[in-house]
Amino acid sequence: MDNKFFITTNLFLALLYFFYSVETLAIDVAATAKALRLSNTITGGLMPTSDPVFSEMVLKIQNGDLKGAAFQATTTSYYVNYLAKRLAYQMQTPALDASIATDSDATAFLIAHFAEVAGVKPKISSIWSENATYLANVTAGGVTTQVHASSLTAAQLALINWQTDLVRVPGQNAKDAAGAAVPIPQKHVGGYITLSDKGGDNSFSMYGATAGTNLRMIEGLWQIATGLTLVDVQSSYARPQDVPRFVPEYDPNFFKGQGQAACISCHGGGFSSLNHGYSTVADLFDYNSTRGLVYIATPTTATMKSLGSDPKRRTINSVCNLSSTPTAVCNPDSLGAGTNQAWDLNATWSSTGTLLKMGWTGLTRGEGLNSLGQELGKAAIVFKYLTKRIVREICPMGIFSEEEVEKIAQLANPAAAIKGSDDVRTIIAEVASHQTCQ
Amino acid sequence: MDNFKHSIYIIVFAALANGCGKETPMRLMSSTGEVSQSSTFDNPNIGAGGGAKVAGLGAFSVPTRDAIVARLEIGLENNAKSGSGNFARALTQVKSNLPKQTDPTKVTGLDQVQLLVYGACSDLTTGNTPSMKSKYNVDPVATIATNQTALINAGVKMLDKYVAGLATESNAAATIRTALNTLTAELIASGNTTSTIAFMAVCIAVNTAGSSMMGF
Repeated sequence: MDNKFFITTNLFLALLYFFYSVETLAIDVAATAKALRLSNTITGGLMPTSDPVFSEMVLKIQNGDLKGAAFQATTTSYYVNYLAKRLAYQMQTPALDASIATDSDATAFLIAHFAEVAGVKPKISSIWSENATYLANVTAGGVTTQVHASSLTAAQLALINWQTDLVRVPGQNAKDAAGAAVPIPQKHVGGYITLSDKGGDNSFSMYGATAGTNLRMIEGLWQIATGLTLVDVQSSYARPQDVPRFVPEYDPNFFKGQGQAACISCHGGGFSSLNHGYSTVADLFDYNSTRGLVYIATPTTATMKSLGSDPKRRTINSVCNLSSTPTAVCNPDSLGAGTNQAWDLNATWSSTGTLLKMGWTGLTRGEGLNSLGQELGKAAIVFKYLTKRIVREICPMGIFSEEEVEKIAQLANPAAAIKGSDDVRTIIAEVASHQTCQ
Repeated sequence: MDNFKHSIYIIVFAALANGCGKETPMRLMSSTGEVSQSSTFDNPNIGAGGGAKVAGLGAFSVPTRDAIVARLEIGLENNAKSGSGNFARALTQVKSNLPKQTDPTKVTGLDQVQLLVYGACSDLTTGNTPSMKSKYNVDPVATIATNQTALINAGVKMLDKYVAGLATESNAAATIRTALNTLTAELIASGNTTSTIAFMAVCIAVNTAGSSMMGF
């Protein structure tokens, strides 16, 4: 090894040394090191230290305004192209794994809600309800066209500035059964979760509405927004009427689980209860592997996922004659998904304390995915969970008490007693400047 | 044998840069961000974060793949780009293994960084007038001894890009130069290697450290 080990040790120790040195040289070491930490955690290191914003951050830190310096970093395109994008990628599946997502209408929509783009202020509360699509302006040969994010080429992606190149287009489109673009009615727009213009785009729609029964769609919505798990909100004190039609009531586990949770506890009392939002997505959406999100304007028995994942068995499940052969897989007491896409969170969740746990302040009843998304955007838990996610991203080893998380979340929550900013950058600046994060 | 020594050097440096031997608080969080196990017992009021006890380790985050790639481009002053050359080829090979999350208690893949850096640095040595010469004044046909000052300057210059000039302006500047001086002296003493290899050694060492700095 000769003395190479000592060489490398010296280099590494030197790196540490100048970060923690407080002596003043031509460069303010302490302020520069703090600015570097903020810059690298908030922009991923995408911001060159030669950027004028970095100098402004150092100046703010020298003046004792660490929070201001952190916020300054969030105003840059570097933040948008890194952390905002990363947060958007994460929200395509409940696993919050940014590495498996790709650019899509859904990620572009979320980026636009985490940063000031297209002249629109960041807005957390409308993530699940805004009726808009965000496209990328691409200029070639002097001509600018609006392109869906999933259709950007590698060369275009390498050049895109997500802060300046996004443009807001009102409305959302899906495909009909024949593959033609159709507008999704306002009532059924779910913000980023109803955006996908192309199959295989790794969007939330792809995760939630591919094949199956769309249970993933409603469960994923709740999990990603609140951070709660299926078992956190389950309750067997639910009515069989609120359990989807395709869940067999005759199953020995239906009312009381035997070595597993009772079926009714999730399908009747949990995220996937007809009343807790499943009705808003069950029969209206599908995901086609080439076309992307499909909106079914006029559901038929053959297309209704609330009757089961196998289209060939939906008729028999719908009739639910338990003496028929083969035996129908069904719940004869189910009220079904219905035609109004109604939701009622009071059912079960008011008595189990789930609404209290969520800090639910909005309406508890409504019709359609859009109204559910609007009320979800007012729940305190959304802002609290986002705060915890930000901690995990930029200050994973910090120490934040529940009270501190609550306090930070309230600063962003527009439904709080003192109206918050509705801006994730508020949370980022607070977390990054926290005393245990410096 | 020299290649072996260089490999050892690179690996050891990367291990150091990745935090080997440092106290890493092993605390766990659930998927909901709640702290569990030891930290919960230590402080039941912790709502988020791993609960590091050592000052300065609160923001001990790990750069993820996109961050590492971008930092590397900046560190090399865009003389190597992730979309072309050996940099792109190396990225294709290792991208799925590079760090995916920022939590140092859960992350894997930092060991892949030096492979990526190797690819990127090699792009500076190609062409009729390679960047190692045009940008860093290291002449590939001259001896390492002749290039020693330029090699050290190149290392410091690269490091400065990662640390906002602190490699030259902090009290550690002399230590850094000494370390790079010792490295290049070792290569000179080996007697049978080239300035290109010496440049690669400096480039890999400095950029591995710079691009994978934790907490920054």
